[in-house]
Amino acid sequence: MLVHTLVAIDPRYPTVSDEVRAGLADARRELEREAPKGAAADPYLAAQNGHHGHHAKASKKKGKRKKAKKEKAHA
Amino acid sequence: MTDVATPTGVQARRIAEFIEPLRVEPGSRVKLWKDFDPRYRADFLRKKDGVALLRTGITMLADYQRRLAAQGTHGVLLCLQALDAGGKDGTIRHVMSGVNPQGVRVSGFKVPSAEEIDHDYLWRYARRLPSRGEIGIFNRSHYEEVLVVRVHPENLERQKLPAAAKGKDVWERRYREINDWERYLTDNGIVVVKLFLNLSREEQRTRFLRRIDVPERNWKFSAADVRERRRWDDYQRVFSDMLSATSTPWARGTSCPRTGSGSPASARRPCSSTRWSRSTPATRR
Repeated sequence: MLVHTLVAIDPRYPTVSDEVRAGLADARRELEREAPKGAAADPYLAAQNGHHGHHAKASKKKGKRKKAKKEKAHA
Repeated sequence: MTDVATPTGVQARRIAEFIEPLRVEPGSRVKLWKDFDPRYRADFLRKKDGVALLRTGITMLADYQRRLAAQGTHGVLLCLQALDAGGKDGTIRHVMSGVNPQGVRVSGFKVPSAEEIDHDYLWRYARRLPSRGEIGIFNRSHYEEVLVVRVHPENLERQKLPAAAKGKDVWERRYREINDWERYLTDNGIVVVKLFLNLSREEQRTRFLRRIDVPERNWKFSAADVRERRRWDDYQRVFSDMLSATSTPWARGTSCPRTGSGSPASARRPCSSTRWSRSTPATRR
């Protein structure tokens, strides 16, 4: 019932105005400038990219394993 | 009563051993940047141990909350203090995942209202104290009055204090008043648990960037966060003074390291449900 009510209310995250977006961009630049030597300018994005990379690698490996299994079964 | 409960059993002892080095020794002089490493994790703690310990803590919390309610003589007040993006909300989610919501009251403290300013500075906190059998959680607490108010003295001006109450000794006096208040609460069955979530400057930077990068998190970020971050050193100093002055035998402070997944020293947060203690013992740096 509670979920149903919330769905009916349909709350949304606030939309970001152009002004706020510009403020976020300024803040991002300032934070990126503060990156210590050797650290990514945006460690969160870097981790996300790394994470995706890892998944891609894993799924590639999985694909290879499947293919090998198939070939083995076929043989 | 100084501590929450006398630990019994192997698991309880393990938890007690784990949190002990995070607690601030009453009377000690704390320098956060020197004494407590936000990346600290206990020597014995591997990832799976941390998860297991957290599960154990949550199970025990549920059990002891029922006992607390049944006995009805004590209340517990958990005060959470941290810098912006320090993980207060996440800590509350962890605590709440293990308890009966009927017995818990969470109170957040933002800019004081006109009515609150018309009263003494502890008034608004006193109104939200837990009753006997209850757990109260303060998301920010009366410690704001010696932290953000100290970093921004203009807030002190807004408090309409008489001239004599704004003298040079105002912070020392507030520490004493807070300690006395906590002593009073403890003596009357309300146990005060104080948890300072200590995150590094780099971890805060990562968390802020995450709030900018993820559109659903934009609403949690404000330009004021970056302005406050410029006062990092001031906050480190006032947090240090606060921990030094207010860790008492009846309400010891605890500093909890908050290393996140984005940090190079990517340790798991070893004590996401601990109390107001320091982050790391000097000897473990």
